[in-house]
Amino acid sequence: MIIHVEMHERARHARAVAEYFRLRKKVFHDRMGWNIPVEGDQERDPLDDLPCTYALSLGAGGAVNAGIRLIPTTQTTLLDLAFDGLVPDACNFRSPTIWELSRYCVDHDIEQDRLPAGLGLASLELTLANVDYAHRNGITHFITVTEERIFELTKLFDLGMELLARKTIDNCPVVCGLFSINARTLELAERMRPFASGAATALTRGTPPSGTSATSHAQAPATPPRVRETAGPKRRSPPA
Amino acid sequence: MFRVLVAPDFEITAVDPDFPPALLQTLKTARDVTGSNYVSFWGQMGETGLLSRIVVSTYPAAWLRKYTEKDYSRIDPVITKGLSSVGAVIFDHNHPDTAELAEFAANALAHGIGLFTIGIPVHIGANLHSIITFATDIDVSGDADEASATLTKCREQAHILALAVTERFLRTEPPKVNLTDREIEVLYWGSLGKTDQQTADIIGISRWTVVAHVQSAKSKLRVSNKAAAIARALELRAFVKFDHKL
Repeated sequence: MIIHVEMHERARHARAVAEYFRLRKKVFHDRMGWNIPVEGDQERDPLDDLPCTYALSLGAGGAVNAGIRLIPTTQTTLLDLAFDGLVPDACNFRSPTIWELSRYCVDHDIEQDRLPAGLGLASLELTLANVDYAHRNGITHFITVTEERIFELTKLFDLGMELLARKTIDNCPVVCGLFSINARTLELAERMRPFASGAATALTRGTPPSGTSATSHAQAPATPPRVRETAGPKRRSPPA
Repeated sequence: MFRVLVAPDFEITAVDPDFPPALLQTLKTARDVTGSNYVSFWGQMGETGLLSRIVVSTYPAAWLRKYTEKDYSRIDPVITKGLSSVGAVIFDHNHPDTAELAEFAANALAHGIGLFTIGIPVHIGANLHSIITFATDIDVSGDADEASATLTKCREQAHILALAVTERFLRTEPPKVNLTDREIEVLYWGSLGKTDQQTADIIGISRWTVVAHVQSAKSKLRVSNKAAAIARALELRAFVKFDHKL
């Protein structure tokens, strides 16, 4: 189940929001070694104190399987705080109908159903829920910063991510991409919806395939990624 | 402080005879482009309370009187939820959730406001939270493409209206740029080509704190990126004074 939590609903969903912050700490700080501040067992940044929406995937018992943050680009975004100058000035992406996606994380410790290509069910549900959220809110585009390999993987799913900028930050190639929410996106979402609802039977349970077919940040690698085989944690700026 | 503009003739109330024509036009445009019956801007600065609030509205005078008399802003879901949301808040007047809202919705319908109220939150800086409401008869309760297109138009017009009101009423004084020494210092090192991490290492603070100082400086200088902040700081000769301290 996916819930969208607005700022005025945070008290009502306090447990789920706190779990999301804990998941962010586990994924971004503990596992990936990002240089980001943590408070106790949670990871928060200044943007969490401003109005924003969290999309959270809840599993059995209300556990948070995955989550992402949505912020209108007319407010301060992670692109301002952590990726200043990444997008050329000529490319003015600030609009009330363009929203930034950031802090996307999936709990790799929870076994979840997967599509044959390796896409986790929680990731698929979250993606579809965000398309629906965009449709219900007059949002025309999502903008996000991600690792370049993720951008390449989005091509496998024909998500139509438009490349706005590319840069190497601390030896990590990152890109800034733009997703349009249009008739084509909605059609693709409808084709994928049966998999999320369980109507399609192509789901497999367990760990994802390793290698390039595993999708991006959504994956729960069965084995640690190569970067973690190095002696020290990789320190770099926090992508979305 | 309330400033009210009354439909249907956009007659300006006696308490505010100098209502700016440009803002009047912005309200009319927002109403027409979105196909709405009425449009309203509700902004709140800092602490809650009458003095920190500004309302600019095209709603009919009778409804505004009723709204004020009943103090509906206490329960109006578009206001109570919208001021701290980023998502749209939609109130279906024919399907209120509670008995209290039913009375409010029935009154809205009786005054011919429309079938739905759409609330679009717009947050400007850290202190100004606003909600722009669009009263409409367009069915925005479902997932129809028409509903989505209407909400997109509302979002665009809400932002334009919020900026127009803010510029007219809330930024009458020229901005005072009062950068702290730390903000100038991080921009200074940035002007020398240092990255945030390098600046953090030089000053002996965390990279994230450097980022926070840069962000604060950008906000004060009203620019959108670090390079522009450095350029603006140079224009203001901010580094000259600070240079001697380094």
